[in-house]
Amino acid sequence: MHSCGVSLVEPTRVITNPAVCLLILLGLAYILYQMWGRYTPKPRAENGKTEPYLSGEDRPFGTVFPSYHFYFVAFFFTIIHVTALVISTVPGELVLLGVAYIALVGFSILAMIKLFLIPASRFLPRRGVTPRPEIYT
Amino acid sequence: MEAIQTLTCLAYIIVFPGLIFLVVYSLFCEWFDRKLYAKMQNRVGPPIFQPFADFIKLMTKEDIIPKGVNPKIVNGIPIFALAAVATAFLYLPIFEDFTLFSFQGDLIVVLYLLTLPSLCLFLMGWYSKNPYGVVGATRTLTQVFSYEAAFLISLLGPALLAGTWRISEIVRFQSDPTGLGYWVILAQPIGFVVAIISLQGKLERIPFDIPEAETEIVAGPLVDYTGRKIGFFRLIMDMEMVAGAGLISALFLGGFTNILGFPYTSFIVFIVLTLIIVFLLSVIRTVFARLRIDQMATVFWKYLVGLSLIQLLLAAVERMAIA
Repeated sequence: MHSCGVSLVEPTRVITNPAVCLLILLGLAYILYQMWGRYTPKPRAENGKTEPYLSGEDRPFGTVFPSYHFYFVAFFFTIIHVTALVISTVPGELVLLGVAYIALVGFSILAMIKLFLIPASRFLPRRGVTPRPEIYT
Repeated sequence: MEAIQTLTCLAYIIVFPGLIFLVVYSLFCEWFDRKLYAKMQNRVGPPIFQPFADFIKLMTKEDIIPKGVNPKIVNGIPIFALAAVATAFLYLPIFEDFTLFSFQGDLIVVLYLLTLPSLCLFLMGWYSKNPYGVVGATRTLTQVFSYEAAFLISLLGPALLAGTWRISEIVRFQSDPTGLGYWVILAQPIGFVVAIISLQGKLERIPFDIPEAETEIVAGPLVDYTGRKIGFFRLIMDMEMVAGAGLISALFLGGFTNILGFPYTSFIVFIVLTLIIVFLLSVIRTVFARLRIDQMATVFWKYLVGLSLIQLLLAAVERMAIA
């Protein structure tokens, strides 16, 4: 890693590394956070202030696991990230191949969006149309 | 020589353009945003020191740890999020010749560092034992999955056009007559619009304030937290707004290009450009109402990702034309 037009000596080269910068700033943020902690009143657990902000019902303290039906959004997200990384590493002479790849991924994504993001109401019977009677045997 | 360069680097990280400058400028941008928002609603708006006063007030409030929550984790998450945004900001060229931290691939590092605050917000909600907090956390994650792809692809366009992953080189490419010679926004207007809308989603502002929808889930992931934690997260969102605005201005609006030609005026250009982006974000915040989570997913995946892919195709064609 080097900067444009500036020759860096070794310690500076280390400090400008993103991981090292992150560590330095982590330390600074920690000091800032702890410093403010000296000015805050000591927390006192009274009047239910440590209870969850709810309506007063008793509920067991455990991790809540909601059901999640947006998994397809996460699926698209992964596809697009892989595409972005592939495109960014395509060599200059293979740009046309990259264009074809983008077009293919775009078409696939649109097809899947059509499949997943169609409102459920489309599958319900339309107004005025009598649903087919089910035949019980 | 070594000691001086090391101290200079540390000063960059701590003071300018590092943490202290970013905190001050972020609070100023929050005031600018709130003032514009108020003016557009025919209100007076806050005085200039209001965000600073709000920050001090929150930081000196009683810091309650909710029952059943691991204090080490919930105290550590805001620290990590703040450090991630501050690190991302260091790699933005905020004035001419400030490329000390620049390296090939810094754009990718900045993009991923800017994703961390949203993930930290998700963790805050997930670790709270509150149903509102958990609902807010899952909404945050769904929103990340939605806007992040559009944001990434829209910012990939300028990099593809310039043929580099170094932000400072993309800026130079826009001012260099042998490169593009004009701002990327003129070549990639769709990408710019998608980037602005995605940034609004990233900052969880109206119409994408779904994770913390006050009228539905109180405050979402942060519902059970008080004092320093809320103060830090509000500051982090302001810092992310500045970093996002700086990134978009660098990639689409010529960044630090010294239009006026005087020394240090490139920094003024950076300030003006980021304020223009904040203005656009304020306008969006004013004229729209909150979407539902499924509407948000539809907007990003059905329209914005498609548009950004089209823009990416055009960028590849433009690249071939330039070459």
